[in-house]
Amino acid sequence: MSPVDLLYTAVAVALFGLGLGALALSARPLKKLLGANVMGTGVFSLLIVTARGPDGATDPVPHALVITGIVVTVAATGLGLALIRRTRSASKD
Amino acid sequence: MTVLVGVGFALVSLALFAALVATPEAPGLGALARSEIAATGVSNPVTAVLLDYRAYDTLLELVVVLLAAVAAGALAPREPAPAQLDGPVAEAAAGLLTPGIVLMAGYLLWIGSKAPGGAFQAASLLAGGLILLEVTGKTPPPRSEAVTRAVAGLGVLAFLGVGVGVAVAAANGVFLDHPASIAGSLILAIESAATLGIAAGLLALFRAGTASA
Repeated sequence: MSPVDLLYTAVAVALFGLGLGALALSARPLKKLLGANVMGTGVFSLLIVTARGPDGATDPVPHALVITGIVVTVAATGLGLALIRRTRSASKD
Repeated sequence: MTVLVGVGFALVSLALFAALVATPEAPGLGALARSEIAATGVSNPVTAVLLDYRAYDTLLELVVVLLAAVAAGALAPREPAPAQLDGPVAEAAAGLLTPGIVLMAGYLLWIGSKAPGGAFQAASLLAGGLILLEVTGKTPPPRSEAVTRAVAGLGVLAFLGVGVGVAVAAANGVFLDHPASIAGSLILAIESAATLGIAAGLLALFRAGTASA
C-alpha cells in the first residue's frame, strides 16, 4: 500500500469506528442514525481506496457499489428520520 | 463504563486497520469490465457496471428508493409543511438557480454514458432543485402525494419494462440482457426514467420528513 492509500484506509477505519461507537453508545435515535451514516461513509471511503488496483488502473465495480450504497443510505436515512419523528409524536400523545 | 467501551471500539478499529493493511491486493474486476465494455453500449465503465453487468443491483436499488418513499409517506402526518425559507432573497435565489439546476441535471444524465455522471447524480441534483422550490414555498410538481409516488415508480417500471422487453423480443432473450446493438439507447431510456423516478422518490422522502403534525 502506498502512503496515500494508508492514510485513506486509516481515515476510513476511524470513521467506521466513530460511527460504530455513536451507534452503540448513544441512547438518542437521531445520534444512532447519524452514527450509522458516518459508518457508511467509512465503508465508502474504504471501497474507493480498494478501487485503485495494484496496476494503478481504476476498478469501476467498487465505484458502482459506492454510488448504489449512497442512494440506499439516503433512502434508509429518510425512512429512519420519518420513523424517529413518528415515534416522537406518538410518545407525546 | 462509556470510556471503557470507547477504548474497546478504538482497539477494534486498530485491529480492523491492521487486517486491512495486511490483506494482499487483489487484481479486481477492472480488466474484465474494460475488456467487455464494447458490448454494453456505453463507454463509462461505472455506468456499464450499473446498467449492464450488474443491472439487477441497480433495479433493486430503485425499488429500495421507492419502498423508502412510500413507507416514509405512510408514517408522515397529512398536513404539508409551510414555507421554511421566505423573503425576497430566498425567492429570487430559487427562481434564478432552479433553471440552471435542471439544465445541469440533464447534462449529467446525458454525459453519464461516457464520463462521470448518470441517473443518480442527475436525480440528486434535480431533487435538490425541487427541494429548493419546496422550502421557498413554490411547491414544485408533482404536487399530490399519489402523483409523486406514481412518478417515483416510473424508474422501476421502465427498468422492468425494458428488461422484460429484451427477454421477450429475442429468441433466446434473457431478462435485463440488453442486445449490444441498441444497448446505448436502452440505457439512456432507463436512466432518463430513473432520474425522474429517483428525484420524485427523494422529494417524497423530504416531504414526509417536513410535514407538520
